[in-house]
Amino acid sequence: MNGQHDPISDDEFLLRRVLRGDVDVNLPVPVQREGFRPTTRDIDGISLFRERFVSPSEVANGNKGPAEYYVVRLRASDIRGLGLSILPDVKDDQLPGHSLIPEVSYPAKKSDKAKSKELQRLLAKLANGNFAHTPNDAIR
Amino acid sequence: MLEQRRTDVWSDSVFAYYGTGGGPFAQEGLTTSDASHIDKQWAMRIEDLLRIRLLRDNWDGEDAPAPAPEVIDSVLELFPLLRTQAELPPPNRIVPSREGGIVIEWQFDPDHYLEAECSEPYRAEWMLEIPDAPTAHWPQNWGPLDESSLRAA
Repeated sequence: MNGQHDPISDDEFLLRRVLRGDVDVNLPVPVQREGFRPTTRDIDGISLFRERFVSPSEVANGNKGPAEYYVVRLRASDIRGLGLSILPDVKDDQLPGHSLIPEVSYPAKKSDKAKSKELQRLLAKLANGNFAHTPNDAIR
Repeated sequence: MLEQRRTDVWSDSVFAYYGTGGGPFAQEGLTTSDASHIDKQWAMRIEDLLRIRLLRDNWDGEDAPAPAPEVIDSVLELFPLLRTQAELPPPNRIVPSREGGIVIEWQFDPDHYLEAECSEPYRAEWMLEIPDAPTAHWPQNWGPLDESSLRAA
């Protein structure tokens, strides 16, 4: 195939779209854990995108809604360092490089909400200041 | 009072519960004392709550339900208790959750974190993160307060 199905190597970067309202750059940890909360759509895990296959601005603009987004950049090895998996999940209705963290899924949150919140918080701290795209980038 | 809040109109009476020293209508609102600064920060968080209260379903463009007004109203009653009884500083941030609630957050530094997630009226799920200790989680319930109790708080 085109490599999107290949395993994600430790040195790859993953991109995650985060709502503008979930970021306050004046705080010690700018990204609120809400930016990593699994929604009812995230049955198999929250979505990230491999930077090998898609640009930060494409990720920011990948949602049809009017909301503005930051895009944070996470290294695969750092995600795995939290004890989490990161798996390719190529889909026709998603941008290229779509991937999942299965441990942070909606069913997992329903079964152990406290654990899920802690994982969301760890990911938010990992994203600390690593912005690949800001809403201002879209204006320039 | 609750009926008045449901009009989605900000008014002095909304802020009156927070004392004469609080809110944007305080006469001493332009002073620079620490107390005034804290008053202003609490008032800003109240404004955040009222702003969140205006959200409608699909506010995030991804079908998230709007926070229930009843949840927001109950948190407005929780705030004076947090300030005067728990002696907490003003929260650093309040955001709507993707599931119809809100998350109230305190960051004391990168490793000291406190949050209250409110997804139903008069109930919070607290999370406290401190170094060298397991993250703590506990629920809190508080009851609807009458006007005199709120003024006393």
